[in-house]
Amino acid sequence: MSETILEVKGLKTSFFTDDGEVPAVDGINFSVNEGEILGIVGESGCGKSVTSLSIMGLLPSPPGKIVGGQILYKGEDISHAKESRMRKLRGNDIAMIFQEPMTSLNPVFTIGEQLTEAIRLHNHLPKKELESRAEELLKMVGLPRARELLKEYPHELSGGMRQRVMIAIAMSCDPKVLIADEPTTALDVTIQAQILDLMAKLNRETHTAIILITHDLGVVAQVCKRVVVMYAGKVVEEGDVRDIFNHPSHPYTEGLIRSIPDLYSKKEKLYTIKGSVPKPGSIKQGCLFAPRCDYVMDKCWTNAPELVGDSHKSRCFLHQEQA
Amino acid sequence: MSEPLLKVENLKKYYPIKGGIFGKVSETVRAVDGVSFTVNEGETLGIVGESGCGKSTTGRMIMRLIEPTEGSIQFEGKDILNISKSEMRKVRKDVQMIFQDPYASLNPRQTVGSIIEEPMIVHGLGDRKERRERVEELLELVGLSAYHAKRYPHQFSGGQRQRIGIARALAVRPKLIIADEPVSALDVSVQSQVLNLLQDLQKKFNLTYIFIAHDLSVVRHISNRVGVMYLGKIVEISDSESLYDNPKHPYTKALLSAVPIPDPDKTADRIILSGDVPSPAHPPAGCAFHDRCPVAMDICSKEKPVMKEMEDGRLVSCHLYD
Ligand SMILES: Nc1ncnc2c1ncn2[C@@H]1O[C@H](COP(=O)(O)OP(=O)(O)OP(=O)(O)O)[C@@H](O)[C@H]1O
Ligand SMILES: Nc1ncnc2c1ncn2[C@@H]1O[C@H](COP(=O)(O)OP(=O)(O)OP(=O)(O)O)[C@@H](O)[C@H]1O
Ligand SMILES: [Mg+2]
Ligand SMILES: [Mg+2]
Repeated sequence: MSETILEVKGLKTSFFTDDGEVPAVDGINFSVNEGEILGIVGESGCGKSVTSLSIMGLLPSPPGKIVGGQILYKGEDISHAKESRMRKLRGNDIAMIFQEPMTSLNPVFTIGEQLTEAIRLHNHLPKKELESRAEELLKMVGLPRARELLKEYPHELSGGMRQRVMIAIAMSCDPKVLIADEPTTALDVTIQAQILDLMAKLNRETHTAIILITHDLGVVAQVCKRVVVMYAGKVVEEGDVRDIFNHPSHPYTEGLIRSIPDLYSKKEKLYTIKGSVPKPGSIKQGCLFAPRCDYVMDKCWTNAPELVGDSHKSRCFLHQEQA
Repeated sequence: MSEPLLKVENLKKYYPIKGGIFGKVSETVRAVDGVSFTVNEGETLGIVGESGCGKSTTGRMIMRLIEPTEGSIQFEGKDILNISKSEMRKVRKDVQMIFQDPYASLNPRQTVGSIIEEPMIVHGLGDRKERRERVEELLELVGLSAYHAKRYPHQFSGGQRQRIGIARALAVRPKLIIADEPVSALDVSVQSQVLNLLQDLQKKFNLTYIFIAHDLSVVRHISNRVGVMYLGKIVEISDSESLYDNPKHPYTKALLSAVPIPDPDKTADRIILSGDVPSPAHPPAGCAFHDRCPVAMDICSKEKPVMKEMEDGRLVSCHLYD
């Protein structure tokens, strides 16, 4: 069993808006082991990005605020760490790549300038070595013409190339944990396949743990070892990827898997989960999935189930004796 | 065989890009570059392909929202690029569109009722009372309620807004609906609701669909036949069963193998293509796919392949099958 490197414990993050407190992340728990690829899946607005921004110390604040819980990096609680400490962690230990590679690269600096700047933050090398390290990183992420690319600007690159540059920048500090928030959502399938392949390769070669955030169950099934399923700001299921896909124990997970059309065979009719995803904070009591659940019981309307289980956890009364 | 409802032949759309101080045309973007297909009444033709390959442009030309540079479009046997204004009015009623973005495609200042009523007013259908009744009927039909007519789009979720868009498209009882990425902006759990709705409506009203999407699983589910586009051209078109089970074109093969399968026990033998999709302003000579093709031959960089009919009636444009 490898060591836990990052542990999120009862994390609560809220936005304080004119309409009151929005509990975007409502007490979530999960841990990441050294060198593993953990998937976090869930539909739009369930709190995936807010979770990653909370870990990185990059929440827009105000209105965002961590209102409870802990984020333990190698045992140290960083949920309320000083900005100077976070900057050091972001430069050396935890890195992040975002969904839209264009907005996260600065359009007025060359690829080379941005990459060497990232390297210099945590590594004082002479100019010549900075450049050769930058070139090396571009090669590592599979970019052709690395030397020329260093002199080019972000708009001269395609979406897939920009995402590779972002990965190169993120990997420049040799991070222990890489958070990838929908890294391929804006890309075409053939380019997505290239990027996922690259991430799996980097994970094998550098042992960087990856938190892969996505709404695509296919991506999770193909790339991750363990998976956390989120719904409306809470973790509803967690476990080994095979257990989750073959024996989903939360009705939401089961519904999600059954809703996807199959590439290999044609079904007459798709399974549907009735209704739609609730706004955070709109359901005041009981299980957040109750209004959409096919298996709903009386107590689901009044009592909120806990996340229970050992290696395969689920937040549902169907699998719990308690009430 | 009866006449197809829609027949598109050699359809092209070139965009000139002006540059330089004299505003001369310096480049041409070949957004759609010679596309041909037919659609039969009551069926769904899926069109798949990656971003920028010309799917929306094709759909918009059929709607005549964009004028083609070349080619012909026949609807019910009539050449709609060369018909009278009054005949075109009728075609405009018979062909409706559903858009990708349920947020941008509905006017935020109009009530849902007036959004759905609008096409009926445009085509002079019914009086006020009849139109109102029809709006209520349509709302129920797409799984909303009559009282929703008084509300505004922002009060609805993405899936509900897409239902409003579908109700609007159905308002004038069209024959053909062009759905351009109708579920791409929706969450998985809501996507299946909208797909089922589209299928139910098709059965009920014998509708014909052109279903444009980049999600290959969704397209398989909904389509009888599928056309695969690459850089402004259709590279392969056939019934969806054989296309998915036994793809012929190397691009179709790569595309299918790249789809991440939501089953950890099934690892597809991925064909990872090198490089990016080329710009439609500079398509490679010969076959547009040759510089990424894992099985390219000498001829592929020299000669453009033509669409060929295989024994089983499938159409493929690739030198492998010369
Ligand atoms: N700045 C903000 N102010 C108020 N609410 C916010 C803010 N940012 C996020 N939220 C809310 O927090 C919730 C979680 O958002 P988050 O961005 O984490 O979702 P997500 O799971 O990443 O979704 P997506 O798949 O669409 O990226 C949403 O309901 C969102 O509306
Ligand atoms: N008005 C225009 N002027 C110049 N080029 C255009 C114009 N409209 C579209 N294009 C180009 O034509 C090509 C085809 O665009 P189109 O929108 O049809 O692609 P698509 O297949 O629908 O892509 P997506 O999946 O991203 O919606 C693209 O390269 C696009 O940049
Ligand atoms: Mg997000
Ligand atoms: Mg489009």
